[in-house]
Amino acid sequence: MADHNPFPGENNTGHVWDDNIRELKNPPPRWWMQGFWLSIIWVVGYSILYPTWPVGDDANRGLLGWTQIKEYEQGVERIEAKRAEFEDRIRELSADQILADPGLKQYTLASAKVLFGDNCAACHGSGGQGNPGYPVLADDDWLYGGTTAKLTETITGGRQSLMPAHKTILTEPEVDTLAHWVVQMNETGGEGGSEAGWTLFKTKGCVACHGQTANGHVVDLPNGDFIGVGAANLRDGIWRFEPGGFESARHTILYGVNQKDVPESRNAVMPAFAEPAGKLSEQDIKKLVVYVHSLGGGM
Amino acid sequence: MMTHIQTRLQTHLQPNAALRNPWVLGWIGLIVVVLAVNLVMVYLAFATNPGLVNADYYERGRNYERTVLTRQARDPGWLIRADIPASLHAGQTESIRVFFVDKAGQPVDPEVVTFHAYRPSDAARDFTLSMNREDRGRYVVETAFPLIGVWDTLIVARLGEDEFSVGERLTVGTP
Ligand code: HEC
Ligand code: HEC
Repeated sequence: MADHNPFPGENNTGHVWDDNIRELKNPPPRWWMQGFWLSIIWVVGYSILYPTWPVGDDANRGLLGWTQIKEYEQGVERIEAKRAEFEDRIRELSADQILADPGLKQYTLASAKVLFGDNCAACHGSGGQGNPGYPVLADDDWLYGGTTAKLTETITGGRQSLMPAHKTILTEPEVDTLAHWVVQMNETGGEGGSEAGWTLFKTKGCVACHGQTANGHVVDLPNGDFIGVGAANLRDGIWRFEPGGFESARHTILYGVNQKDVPESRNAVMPAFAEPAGKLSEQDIKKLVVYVHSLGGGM
Repeated sequence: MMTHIQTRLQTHLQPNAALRNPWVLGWIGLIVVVLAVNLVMVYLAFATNPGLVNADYYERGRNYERTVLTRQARDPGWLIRADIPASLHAGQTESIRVFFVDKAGQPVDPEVVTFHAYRPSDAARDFTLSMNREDRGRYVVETAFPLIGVWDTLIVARLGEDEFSVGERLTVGTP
């Protein structure tokens, strides 16, 4: 650093390095100074309008009266208002109309997901994928039907299918033939059932509930829906009572389904969910119908 | 001015000039970092060993054939299916269920059903809960995984001397 200033009159600070590098006293650019003063004015203005300075445990009030909690409450109010609007529309529309409205459907699904988790997942699985003993809801293999009308009926009133025990009606070999036939049918998509099996199926009354083609439909309707008694489809490879196979089929045929006086009988009860017996409102049930319909198999 | 100082230092430190070379320093630094990371890893390997190894693995291996045969002979052919929700989030309580049916598809009850959660990276976070009977062949436990990341779960059912289990590896997401 030089002790005497070799560049007088230049408005430098007097700091000079390496003979000619100087520090000058130029004022900051005008835009920079404007920004500087503006920011100070901003702080003053802000602290008058909004809480800024600590005062004891609190802060100054601010002319606008804004607080964080107030803003949060207003946000909640806005969401509630939006929700009430959706809930009103769900109340007015049918499940089919809700399904046709993407925005409303999305809201309904989100809201029904919680209802499903609380009321249905214990039996039908967390994703409706079914569990041993409880039917899958996420496919298009329906015992009772996947139209919104049928789903509403199922959830509202519950279902309890009946199949008689054949232990005293059929002989052991007949039961075995039928059980083998059910396995053949399921493994071949309905093409490979033995003649003997078909004969027994048609003459021993099975056909009355399981339908002419053993697909569980008593009468097929032109609109794709069907009339049935909840009897399982025996030809689509989906077992109502897992693990399926000969032992399972044999057990169902021997002891039937929901037979009160047969202790080994299958237990298959879908509880009724409508108030007052159940605990779901009409609105909740409508949401669940939309949800189940959208799981993958709605008709 | 700067060049002045540098020249002076270089002359002064002539014998160790290599240690002032940024490349040499960089390489030494790199080696130090690699060694340090190795040491940390070795430490972690000891400190967080999950201890999931069987103490009698040798005997078990020798007896494998016999165990398998007796097991097969006694195997009741149950179907055991766990239902763990697909999307899990740390700290969020969920119901975990397990279903038991026999060969003919009728629900069956074991004597004791336990749910084990193992944290592969930290044995101290492992936990075990007993599962409650909800209905015939249906057991449930409500729990929340405390940490995001990978968990190994094992549901063990005990009936007399026999033990049945189903396991699943889960990934728990952010809350
Ligand atoms: C206690 C166990 C249980 C619970 C809880 C339960 N279900 Fe079911 N559900 C069943 C059983 C068992 C069946 C089969 C009934 C039968 O075979 O007749 C069934 C059948 C159904 C069907 C008819 C499926 C078809 O193929 O036609 C629908 C739809 C259904 N459940 C929806 C629901 C919904 C929605 C909920 C929640 C509100 C629910 N279930 C709760 C046990 C349950
Ligand atoms: C009164 C009506 C009825 C009659 C008659 C009947 N079933 Fe069923 N069957 C059902 C119903 C309902 C179910 C399904 C129960 C359920 O899902 O809860 C069923 C289920 C089954 C199943 C289980 C399918 C599976 O996927 O696990 C088999 C097998 C079966 N029936 C075979 C027969 C045979 C063979 C006959 C004739 C001997 C017969 N059924 C007669 C109503 C009937």
